[in-house]
Amino acid sequence: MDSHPRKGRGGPAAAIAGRRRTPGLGVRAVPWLFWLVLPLVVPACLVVLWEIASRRGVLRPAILPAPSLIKDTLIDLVRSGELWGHLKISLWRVLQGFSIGAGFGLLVGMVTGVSAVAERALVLLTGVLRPIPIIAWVPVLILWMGIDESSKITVIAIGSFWPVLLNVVHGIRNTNRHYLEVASILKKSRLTVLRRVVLPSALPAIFTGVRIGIGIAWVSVVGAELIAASSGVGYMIMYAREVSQADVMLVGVGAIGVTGLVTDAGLRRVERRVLAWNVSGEK
Amino acid sequence: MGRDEKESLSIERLSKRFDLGDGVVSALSDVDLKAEAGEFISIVGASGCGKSTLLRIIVGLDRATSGAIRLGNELIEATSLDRGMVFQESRLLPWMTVVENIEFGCRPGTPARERKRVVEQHIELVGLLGFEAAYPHQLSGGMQQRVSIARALVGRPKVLLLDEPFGALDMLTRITMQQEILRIWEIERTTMILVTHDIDEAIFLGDRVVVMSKGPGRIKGIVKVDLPRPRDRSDDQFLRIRKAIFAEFFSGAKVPLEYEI
Repeated sequence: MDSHPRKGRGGPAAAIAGRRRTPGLGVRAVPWLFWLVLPLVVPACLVVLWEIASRRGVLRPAILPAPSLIKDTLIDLVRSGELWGHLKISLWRVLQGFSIGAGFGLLVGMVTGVSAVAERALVLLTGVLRPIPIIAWVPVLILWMGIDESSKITVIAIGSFWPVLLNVVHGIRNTNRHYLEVASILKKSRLTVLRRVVLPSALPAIFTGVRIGIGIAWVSVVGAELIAASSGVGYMIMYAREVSQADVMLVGVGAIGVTGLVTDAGLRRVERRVLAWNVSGEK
Repeated sequence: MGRDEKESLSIERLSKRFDLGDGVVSALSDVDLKAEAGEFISIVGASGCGKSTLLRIIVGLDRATSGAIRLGNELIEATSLDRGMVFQESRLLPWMTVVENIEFGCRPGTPARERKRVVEQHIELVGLLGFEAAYPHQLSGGMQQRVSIARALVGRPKVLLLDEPFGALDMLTRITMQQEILRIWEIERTTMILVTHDIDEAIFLGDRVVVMSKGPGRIKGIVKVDLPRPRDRSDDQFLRIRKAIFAEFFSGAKVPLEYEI
């Protein structure tokens, strides 16, 4: 009967899906196939309208090519391995930068979450550094580190550091006082309390931080590649603009979106498995 | 399983005041009570009479404003493995299984084999064989409370404090749990102090029933329950004691008619 401060994860979309399955609330029961296909309906309509507009000559191909043309370009780029080549490079940068940024975020978050002294010591520094947009760091880092890999990885690390840090601190601070009292009665050491009570209870918040962090890492890598790179999806988009290949640009933009979606879905799956105990809304 | 160092818990002129900024609230005033080793004491009182505060001070989570509590000769100033506690909410760690939760109650430094043995023994004691790998959210309220009791007992405290442990359970589960705690007490002979607002529960379980009044919280009277266990709730003697407790509650005030038994 312990009250969890956390509400069910998944936001409004999950709430609607949940309500759908609850009979007697005045919400119409929907066949599962319709429910499965529903997210595809709006994009499909848009694509059809877009295709019609292109064929009627409403849209200029140099600005916005028809979906059928983009599809052909996509197939070409996949067959030649070019798309995957750029994507792989970008993903590898994200993985390195995110690991560093999230690692430091976890570490600093744990220290500042546990120690009031550490938090006070860092409050001004983090207050000033946090609002700096990630793109503002790119020129600075290029000056310091040159145009090669390390500057791009650092940009990603900075970008993913903040959301992880903030969520770790938030999770640690929100440890249920009831559990801490139990640990106190059972005379657990500080280390045991941290390892077995505080960290597990902060885990849902930490996962949220990781998910936001990886999203920002993905944004950062493309930003860095747009400005200075000779490979990666961001570079692919930038180069296509220079040679006026709108179709290649749009394939690149789409690939970024799809990769982001797939990464987030994968992380959600891991989260559901790791946090199986976290059933806030048990039936 | 007997414990050699039989020690009694003595509460001496204990007071607790809360400073609320715009005034001081007296939660407990001059509470004197002595629990013999192995005794079962029930404390009853209306909400706000400071009975939970009293338990929190005994376990060491809160400090008294004045007065002292001793377990044997030792002055109580902080939490200790000698005093366990079960709360109204089971307070199980949701990320741990039943086994892990109970194991969390073991004294630090217990060897792994010993841990395993006592945890198994306590799972059996509270009747949860077969639920070792379950997570708290998979258990009913009554089962969660059994785990909580096992966790509190596995470190073999000398005193077990029970803060309305069955308050959130339905009536039937509640009666079962009362019989269970009695059975456990008869095996373990731990000193138990139970806070409740259920007078029948207090009489069914306690060797003595302490009646508290509020504003400020103080002991109004202590009624001895001189009946053999298991007790019959409809027995004449049981009803006589119940009447005596009501009389303590309303001494000084006119007894309202509906409480005349």
